[in-house]
Parts: sequence; C-alpha cells; structure tokens
Amino acid sequence: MSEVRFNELRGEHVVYAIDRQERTFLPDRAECPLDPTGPGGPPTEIPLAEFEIVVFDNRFPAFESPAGAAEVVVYSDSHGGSFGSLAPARAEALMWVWRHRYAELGAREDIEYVYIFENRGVEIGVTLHHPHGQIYGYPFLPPVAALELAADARMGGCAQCRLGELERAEDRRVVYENEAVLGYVPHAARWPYEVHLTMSRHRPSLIECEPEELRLLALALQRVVRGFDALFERTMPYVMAVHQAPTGAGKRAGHLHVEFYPPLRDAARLKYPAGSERGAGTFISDVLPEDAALALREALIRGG
Amino acid sequence: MMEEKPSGGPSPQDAAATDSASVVHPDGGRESSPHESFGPLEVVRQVKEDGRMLLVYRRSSGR
Repeated sequence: MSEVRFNELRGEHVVYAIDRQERTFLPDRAECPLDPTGPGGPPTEIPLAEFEIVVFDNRFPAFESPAGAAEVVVYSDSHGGSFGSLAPARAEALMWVWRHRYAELGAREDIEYVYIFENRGVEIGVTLHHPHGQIYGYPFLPPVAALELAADARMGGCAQCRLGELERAEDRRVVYENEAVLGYVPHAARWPYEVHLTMSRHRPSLIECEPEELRLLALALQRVVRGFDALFERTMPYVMAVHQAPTGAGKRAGHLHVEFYPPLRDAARLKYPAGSERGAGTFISDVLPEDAALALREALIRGG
Repeated sequence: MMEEKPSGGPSPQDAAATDSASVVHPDGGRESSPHESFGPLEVVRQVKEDGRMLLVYRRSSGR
C-alpha cells in the first residue's frame, strides 16, 4: 500500500509507492508480461491466447482500493506497433474502453480524479514496450486538474472552450481539425512540439461524447501520433494525457481534451526540464509554437 | 447531454451500465462472468489468480 504525504512548501501531494521499485523493467521480448499467454508458454499478465483490449489492476500500483486505483490498458495482443498503428476500429474501441473505466472508477467514493495516460519511449521512462496505457484513480484532486479548474475561474467560463475559439480565430498554431476535434500547439506551450486536442463542443468527459465524436477523437489522436513519428522520421516519445472533469462530489467542471508532451526538440536532442523548469517552475523553450505548428502540419500530412 | 448525479461523477446511465458488470467470479481467471454490453463493446470481467481484476473487451461485431 502506498503512502500519500502532503508537501506543505509546494502545496501538493507526494505518493510513496516503494513496491514499484521491483516492477518489471524493459524485459526481453520473450518475457513481455503484456503478451497473451501462449500454449505451453509461461503465464503472462493476460491468461488468454488472444485478445483485443484488456484492462487489469496494476501489479505494482501507485494507488489501490480503498484509496484509489491503478490500472493497465493493453491496446492489442500484438507486441509490436503503437497507438498510431492500431486499426481505426480498434482505436475507436479504445475510446469506449476509456469511457467505461472513467464511468466505473469515477463512480467510486474513494476516487476524486480519473486520469488516463500513455507514456511512450524510454526517454519518458517506459518500462514495457508493448502498446499500452495506464489509468490512475487519484484519491485527491491532482495539481494539474486543480490548475485547469482555476483557469476556468480566471477566464470566466470553460477555459478549453475559450482557448479553442482563440486558436481557431488566430489560426497560426492549429495543426489538425475534424468535425469534432481541434488540435493545436498552445500559445504558450511548455514543450517544443506540445499538442493539445480538444473537443470542439463542450464535453466534460468521454461520457458526454456522442459515438461519432469518440470515433473522431480516435482518428485525431492517431493522426497526431503518426505526425509526431513523421516529424523527425523516428519514433517520437511522448506523454499523452487525457484530461476530463474531476469525479469527486460537486466537481463536474472540466472539458475533455488530450495533451501530448513530446520531449524532443529535434531529431536527436531532448528538452530537459532542468534548473529553471524544476527550481523556478518556468519553462524555457527553444522552439516558437508557431514554428512548431508549421512543422507539425506538414508532418501530419506526411504521417497520414 | 447526460443527467448529472447530485454528488457529481458519472451519470446514472453510465454508472448503471458498469454496475451490472460488477459480478465477479473468483475462478482464477479461467472462467468468466456473462458478457456485459457497453456501447459497441462486450465486456467480460474476470479475477486473476492473485485476486486482481481483469477486464476483457471485445467489439460486439467481432475482431
């Protein structure tokens, strides 16, 4: 069981999950715990010979009942590939899986915030290469979610709705748009090629989305991931963060959007959060968001 | 737009859909509960040998 402490100086929670020190770390290909269990082969996390999408409780959880949850979402029984290379129907199904988990975890009394995310690439700290994501059910409201609620208050309404309107009107940083989703490099992006995908209509969470909107969200996500890979003609590491309305009592404000934080500033060099970013909390970027958007628009075309 | 719970959180509609999937079979993951529908998905809930949850999702129209 992990321990949550409150850091008074930072005004934030810190989680100590010391059992995670022993978690599986970059296993050999033949020992991937997210592969299906083959006939006569060693058991994996998934006791099935084949599957489409599975979710299971993390063996090394940062949170667990009755104080939160930590789940693993495996996108495919194929070890290779990535979110961007999933068949479109599989990616669309994944949106429904996310919705199912948001609904079920969000209904729990011990969970204040359901956070769906994917870490990709060893540069980010990935320990398993099999295509997968994770879901944390936080027993408290994490700082980024609180900041987004504060932005709503500061902007006098839904910040995502307003920012989407501004980006669409200015049209200098938009990288992708379909009938349901707008994608752009934020005006003040922290990461060189940061992209936000936001629902064009106000949708607090996946639950409020129409089925067609889920299909279009999956389409947009895959276009962005493939565009990232085309940008430098290499696999782009990233954090993909799905932000939705908090689920605690009375906290229904929020607007479904997905933020990508790719750490590369060119094909071979990483943007490291260092002295200014860690010690002062101010990001210093080497790439203007407008230049990043221009490069990404072209990369999304190449990525298909 | 969904109807909101007075206490916040997912709608009664979505919560009900998941509530009916909450039957567990402590069978070491070899047997499973009946299929539950959620949108276009069939959901089967299992319990692994060590007690952890395993949810298996399949599109209703097949692979």
